Amino acid sequence: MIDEDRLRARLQRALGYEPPSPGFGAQPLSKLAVGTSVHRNAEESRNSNLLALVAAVIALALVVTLVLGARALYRTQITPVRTGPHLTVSPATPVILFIDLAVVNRGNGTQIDGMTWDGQVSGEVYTIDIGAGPANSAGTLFVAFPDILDRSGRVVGELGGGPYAGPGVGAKFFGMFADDELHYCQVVPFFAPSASEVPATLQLVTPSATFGDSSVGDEARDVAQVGQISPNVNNVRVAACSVLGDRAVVVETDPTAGALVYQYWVVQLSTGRVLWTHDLRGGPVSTQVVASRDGQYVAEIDATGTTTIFGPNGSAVGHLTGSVEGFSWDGSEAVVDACPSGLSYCSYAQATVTRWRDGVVVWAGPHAQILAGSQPEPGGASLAIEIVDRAHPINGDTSGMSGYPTVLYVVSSEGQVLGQREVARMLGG
Amino acid sequence: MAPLMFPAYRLAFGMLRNREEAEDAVQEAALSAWKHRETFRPGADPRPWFFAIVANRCRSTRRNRWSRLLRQAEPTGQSRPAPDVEGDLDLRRAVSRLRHDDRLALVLRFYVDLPYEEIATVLGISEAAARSRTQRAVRRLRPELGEPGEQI
Repeated sequence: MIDEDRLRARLQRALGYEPPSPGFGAQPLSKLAVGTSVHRNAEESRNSNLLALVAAVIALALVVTLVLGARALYRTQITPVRTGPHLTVSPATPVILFIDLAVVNRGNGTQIDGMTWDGQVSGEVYTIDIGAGPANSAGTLFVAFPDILDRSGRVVGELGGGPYAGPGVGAKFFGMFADDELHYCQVVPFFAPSASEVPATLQLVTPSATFGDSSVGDEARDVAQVGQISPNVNNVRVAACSVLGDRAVVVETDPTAGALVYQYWVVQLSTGRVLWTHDLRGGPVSTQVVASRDGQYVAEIDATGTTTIFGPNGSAVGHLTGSVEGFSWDGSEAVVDACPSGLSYCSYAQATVTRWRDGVVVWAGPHAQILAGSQPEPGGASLAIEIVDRAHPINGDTSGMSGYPTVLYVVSSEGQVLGQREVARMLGG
Repeated sequence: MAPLMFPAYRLAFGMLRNREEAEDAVQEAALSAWKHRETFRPGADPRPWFFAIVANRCRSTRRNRWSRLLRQAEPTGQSRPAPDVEGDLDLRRAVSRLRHDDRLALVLRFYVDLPYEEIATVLGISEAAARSRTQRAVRRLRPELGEPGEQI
C-alpha cells in the first residue's frame, strides 16, 4: 500500500514549484489583451547578443513610431460617437443592431441602435429596461428575455416556458435565428437534468406571432436527436439554422470544458435526416466549428489555428491558414482570424475577409486586435465585423474583455469599408 | 475567475514545469473560459470546468513545443535541488513520460490536492474511473517511487 501523504510529498518535491510572475492573476484578461503572449520569445531573448539588442531597439523605435502614427490615424477614422435620432428606415429593412458605446458611457446600456448595411443611416431602434440580444441577421427581431421583440417592440415570441423553465437555466437565449428571419433552432435540454449526460434534440421553433395569436405560445418541432447534453455545460449548440436552405448544423463539444469539438452533424431540417457528420474524437483536435449561413460550408479549425472547409456533401473543398470565424451570406468569403500556425493566440491576430477558394484577402483589419464576431448581410455580400479595440479601455476599465470597446466595420465584398462605429457590442452574429 | 487563477497556475505548472508556459496556458484558458462563459450552467461550480480548459491548454502547449530542441534540459529558475536530487530527477522524468490523461490525474490528485469527485469532473469520467486512472499512473511510477505496493 502506498501512503498517499508520502506520495504527495515525494511528487511535490520532485515537481517543485515556481511562483508565477508578480501581478499574475490580478488582471489576467487585460494582461492578455495588452500583452498577448509575453513569454513566447523569452528563450530567444535569453540567447540574444548585442546585434540582436541593437536590432530590437531600432525595431522598437520603428514600432512605436508606427503605432503612434497608426493610432492617431485610427482615432480620426472612428465615427464620432453620438446619439442619433430614431432609425428612419422601414421595419423590414435589414439593419445591423448594436449597443452604442456613447449610450453605455452615459449609463444607459439598454438602448438598441441600428445601422443600414450601406452605413448611411443609423439611429435609435428601441429602448428596453433589460439587457438585449441576440438578434436575427436582418435585425428585425431581437431577444429581450423572456421575449422576442420586433423593432417596434411588439412581442413575437416567448422564451419563458418549455426548456427555459428548467432549474438553473438562467435568463439567456439558447437558440439561433434562422435565415428566414422568423424561426429559430435550438437544442434541448439546455443542460442535463441529472448528473449524467442525456440525448440532445434539435428543434425548429416557430414564434407565436406567426399564428397571429400570442396566447398560443411558441411551437417547437423535434427535428433530430444529435449529441449528448452534459449537466453543467451547454455543450451541444446550433452552428447554422437555414430554413431557406433546409439545413442545420449542430456541434457537440467536450462535456467538461466545451472548448474542444467532439462531433458535428449537418441535418436536413424538413426530414431530420443526417446528411453528413464528422466525429472528431480520437482524430485531430478541433477547437471550433463554424458553419455558413445555409449550412453548405463548414469550417473546422484545428488547435494550431488552421482551417479546413468542407462542402455540401462533407468533402474538403478548401484550406486556410488562420481561424475562420464566419462566412458571408453566400459562403464565398470568410472572416478569418489570421493566427500564425502553431500558436494558439488566434484571437489576437489580424482579422481579414478572405475569398477562401483562391485565398485572396479582400480586407484586412487593424493589426493585433481581437476579432469578436461577424455577421453576414442578409441576402447581400457585405459583412459586419466586430473588432475589440485594445488600445482604448472603457473608462480605464481593464478588468475584463468587456472593458474594451468594439469597433463595428461594415465591409463590402470588394473590401471597401462602408461604415464603422465604436460600439459596446453587436447584437447579431 | 480571479480566485481560480492561482490554483489553475499550480495545475499548469505541475503539468508543464515551466513558469512562462504555465502562465500562458492559464491566461489562454481564462480567455477561452470567457469566450465560452455563456455555455456554463449558472450556479454550478466553475473550478472543474476551468481546470478542464487549463488541462486542454497544457496538452496543446506540450504538443506545440516547437522550441523543445532549443530548450535546456531543465527550465531555468527552478528551486534549489533537494538532497536526493537524483531520485527526484528520475521521478520527474517518469512523470513527464506519462500519457497526458494519466499525468493529469496524478497532478490533480497529488500536486493540486483535488478530491476524486472533482478530478472525475475535470476529466469527464466517473469517480471510479478517476481513481483507477490515478492508480494506473502511480503504478507506472513505481520503479522511480521505490514503492512495492500497487494500491493507493
